[in-house]
Amino acid sequence: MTFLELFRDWEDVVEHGAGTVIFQEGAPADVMCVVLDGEVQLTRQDEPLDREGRGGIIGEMAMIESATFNDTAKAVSKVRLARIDRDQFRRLIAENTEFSLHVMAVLANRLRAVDNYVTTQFGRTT
Amino acid sequence: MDLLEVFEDTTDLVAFPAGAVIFTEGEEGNHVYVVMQGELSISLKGKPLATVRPGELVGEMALINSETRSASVTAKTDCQLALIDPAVFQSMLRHVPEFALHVVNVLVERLRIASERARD
Repeated sequence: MTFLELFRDWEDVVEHGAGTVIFQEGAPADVMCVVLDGEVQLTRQDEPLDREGRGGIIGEMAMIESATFNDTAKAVSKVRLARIDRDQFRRLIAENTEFSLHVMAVLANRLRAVDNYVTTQFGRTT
Repeated sequence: MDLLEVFEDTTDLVAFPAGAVIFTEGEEGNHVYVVMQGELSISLKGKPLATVRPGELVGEMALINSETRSASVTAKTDCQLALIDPAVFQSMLRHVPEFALHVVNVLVERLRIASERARD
């Protein structure tokens, strides 16, 4: 089963029109989403950080209790998102290798992007 | 998951003196390491990013998405590291759900810390 096939019959799916702010940087992180269709722009302090398309993951900070969103997510086009809460996430990791490997790859890429962003910011201020 | 406990009986250990370079950003990645004793420093483009302490993983990024090392790691103190072979690491990710969840949590936590730094 491929990563996206896991969400074919997912119950908690939402749609947003182009330009919709899906979540705001600094707001309590309550839900993580998998992008089923469309494209989402992530920004940090108004600077573009990353774009996530079909199969991408946004809002991963929701997996940590009491965390806040690191970025603002805005729909670039009409998007369809599968919403995943913490318990569902843990169950998917435990039960599905495809899901956990995909999540790790997405997180590792995001971390590379953020680390580069951080060192670039330091470069500007020092 | 307590990685110190998981790897306490491993014989695949390597010692580095303070100041030694474990790996450098841009290199091909091979092993993943668990810090058994001592501390490591993660840096990128000469800027410090994080300190890695006993029980923590380092080097997993290159193996997760088959890219080069994303940052440099040096020994902050004398240290002893358990080596995890790439095949063993991949096998643990696939067959030990608790380990997979642990690695996801490590990545999310590093993202949180990196993001806090970005806001400072």
